[in-house]
Amino acid sequence: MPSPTQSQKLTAAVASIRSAETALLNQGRQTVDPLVAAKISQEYQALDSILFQAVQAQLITDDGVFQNTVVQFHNEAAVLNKQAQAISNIIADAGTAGTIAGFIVQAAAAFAAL
Amino acid sequence: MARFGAFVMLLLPVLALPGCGGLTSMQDSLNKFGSGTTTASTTEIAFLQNVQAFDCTTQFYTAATEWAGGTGQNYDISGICNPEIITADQLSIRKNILSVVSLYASKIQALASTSGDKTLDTAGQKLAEQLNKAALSGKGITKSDKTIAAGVEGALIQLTNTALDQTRYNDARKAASDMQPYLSTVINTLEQENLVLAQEVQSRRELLELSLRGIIDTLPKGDPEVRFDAVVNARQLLITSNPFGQETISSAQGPPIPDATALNSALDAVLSANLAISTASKGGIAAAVTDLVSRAQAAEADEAAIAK
Repeated sequence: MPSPTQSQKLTAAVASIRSAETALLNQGRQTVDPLVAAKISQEYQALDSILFQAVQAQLITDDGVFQNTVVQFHNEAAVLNKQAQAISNIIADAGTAGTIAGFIVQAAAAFAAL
Repeated sequence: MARFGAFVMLLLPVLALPGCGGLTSMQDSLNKFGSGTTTASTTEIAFLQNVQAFDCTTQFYTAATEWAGGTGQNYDISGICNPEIITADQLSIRKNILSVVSLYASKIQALASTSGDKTLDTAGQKLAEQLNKAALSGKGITKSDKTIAAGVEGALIQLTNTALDQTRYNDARKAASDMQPYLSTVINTLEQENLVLAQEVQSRRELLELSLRGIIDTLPKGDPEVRFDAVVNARQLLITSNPFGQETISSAQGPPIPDATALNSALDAVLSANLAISTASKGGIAAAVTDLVSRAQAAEADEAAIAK
């Protein structure tokens, strides 16, 4: 099971992903461009998949299972960093794109530190 | 004299009715503890079932929107769902956990009886025996689920032992005091899981909203009626799929906050009432169980309204 420090990191990662999702949702609500809407939806879906793993990991009680999950999250950190870069190609407003990317990078850092 | 005899004969069944003078205040409180805890337990199951129903609903619509938008390879109209947020096996394990909690509460209720028999009724006794046997077996009740804290299995053994006990406990106070840590372990685990489920549900709901927008945005501008219907239908779909409360077409507050507050506060009230039974005065116990009944009923009403 996660140690108290690992639990904190997981909680921080979940909070950062949720912040990124909320910001993406707001962008999705504002756009009427089907292509942008589809891309935002895809990015959101990718984040949701990682969020699901993170919220489930918070409840894992078996040490062996949790260690495997940690390895998975270390890999996810790299995926998230790439996703943060991709956001600027989808969200036209540089400030908003930077904010969303910032949340994703924070989540990646929390996973990497597990 | 004959008239008086007839009067007494008429009065006897009335005196024997619970709540008509035959019931002590302590019995009344412990009966309320039993019913309040059972309501909280069944509401937790209803919540998990609502989450599962939401999961299946969003899976269907998300897949349909992905196929319609060209990103999904196929659609599925079979009506068959493989729940992900809470699986069928996980739901079954939690039903057993909550049965143990309800059986324990029924035992506390039975301990208040002034008659010699302080055991569960036949059906309760049978279920408690089955669950106790399962908990003591190698497989346990929860061992196949790696997301349930290790201490829960031990707690379930203690709670089922108490539900079946015929020698150790003769009064509710001692039983409630001994079981408080075990009940806390079980209830805290459920509450923690409810919070985690709430986060995932909210995320999936937002994803569904984005997916629906993706489809609506592709509709041709020359057909306003179709576009209007699509927007209204999408909103209706989001309203009916929310497992955290009733929402209207539009409100200043927005949709209900997905934090499982009402349910977790009912579960907290079970712990508070149990603690009161073990330590408080009769007045303190009465207040705690009244609070439990009221919170459990509020949470039950929420879940029932959502399930409709």
